Amino acid sequence: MNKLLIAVLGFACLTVFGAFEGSDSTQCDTNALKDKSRKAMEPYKFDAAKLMKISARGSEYMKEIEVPLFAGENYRFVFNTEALKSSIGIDIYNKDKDSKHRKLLFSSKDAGTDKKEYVWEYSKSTKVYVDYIIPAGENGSFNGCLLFMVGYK
Amino acid sequence: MYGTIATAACFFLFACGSSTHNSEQKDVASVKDTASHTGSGDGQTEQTTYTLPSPIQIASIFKKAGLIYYPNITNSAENASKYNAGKVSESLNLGVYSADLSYCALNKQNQDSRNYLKASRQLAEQLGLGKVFETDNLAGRFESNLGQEDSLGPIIADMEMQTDLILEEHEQEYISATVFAGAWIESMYIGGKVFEKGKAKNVSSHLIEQMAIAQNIIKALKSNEAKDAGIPGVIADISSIRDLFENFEGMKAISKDRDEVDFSKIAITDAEMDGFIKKIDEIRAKIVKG
Repeated sequence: MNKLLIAVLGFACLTVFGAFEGSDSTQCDTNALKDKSRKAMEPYKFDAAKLMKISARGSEYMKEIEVPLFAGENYRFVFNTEALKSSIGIDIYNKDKDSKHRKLLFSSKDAGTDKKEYVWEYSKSTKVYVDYIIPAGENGSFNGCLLFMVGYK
Repeated sequence: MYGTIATAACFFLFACGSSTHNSEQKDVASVKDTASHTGSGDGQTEQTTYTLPSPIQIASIFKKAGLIYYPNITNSAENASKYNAGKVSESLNLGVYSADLSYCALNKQNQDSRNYLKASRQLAEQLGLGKVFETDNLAGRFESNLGQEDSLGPIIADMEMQTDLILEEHEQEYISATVFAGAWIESMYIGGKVFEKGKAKNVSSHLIEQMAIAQNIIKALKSNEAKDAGIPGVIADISSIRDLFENFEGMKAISKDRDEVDFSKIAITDAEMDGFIKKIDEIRAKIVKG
């Protein structure tokens, strides 16, 4: 009887261990983020989305995304950060990170760092640059996901 | 549209990608197109990545400019069966069909739209992404909304977005990049053909405006250059369009700071426009030949 109990417990332990071993700590519920962002996008037509998985490094670092915009269109940007464990900075500029004279068009600092969703609108035929400022943390630790969606009307 | 392919990609790619212990390291740099560090290892910045407009947005921009529907401009849906020479050819032509689908759907061409959805599905299946079409009742939603431009646009955009998300999540971005390259060439080809027929003179400025993203497409492809032997040829083709454009007199006169330039306002002569459209025709012919 004892042997049977030990065998059952052993099997259970292996199963539980296997489940944890096989789980993916870097996956995010993309569909949930997408659905929420789509609601925030209305009445604009959503056009493209970019999912960013964020991990910390020993020091602060930055990721930049270039977004082309076209004449005659009004654009809305939606950033959903609720799948991030800790907040990051989101800035939008008129020029890229290598430019010495670029203008800040939007900053999540001004909109409130405790928010989980940021919405910004713009209408100009140009390119804009979205910068994510990721604060320092334990190197390689997974912070979560950020969904960026672009729409137009 | 390539977003559509997403769910299918889920099944396909999940099967290939369950190892995640390395992924945290990879995910630090797992954005579309590029992700190599530009610094000296201090982790301060990474190369800039890009978003590209969907074929449905490009079709919508052209339509607002007066682009009207002409039958037989697009690539025949029956050609889908001849695209089986590898992932680059298949994904380029998936892009071509997505642009054709967008053009037809926005112009309420229901039967052609059905045919292009079928052709897209066929190529998506060849790329291992066919199950996307089965999720969210995509095919059913598409069919029941035929003729309703305002409803079809979001369905096509949803497909594109979802596919992109899945491909991005599973580091298959080079398929996204080549699909977009095919869609962009086909969109430019359609715009050029309608412009030549003299029915949409306003389209010319929007064709030129699209050149603002040619360099982004090239960069997106270059960052995936090693993934398939066919990609360098696509880079060369799009670079040849960019180089031709850069040599136009109107382009030579503008500032090197391209962020300040409204491409839609650049003056192009008739001869330059003819040469530009011919170059696009030539590259599009190569793609659809298979």
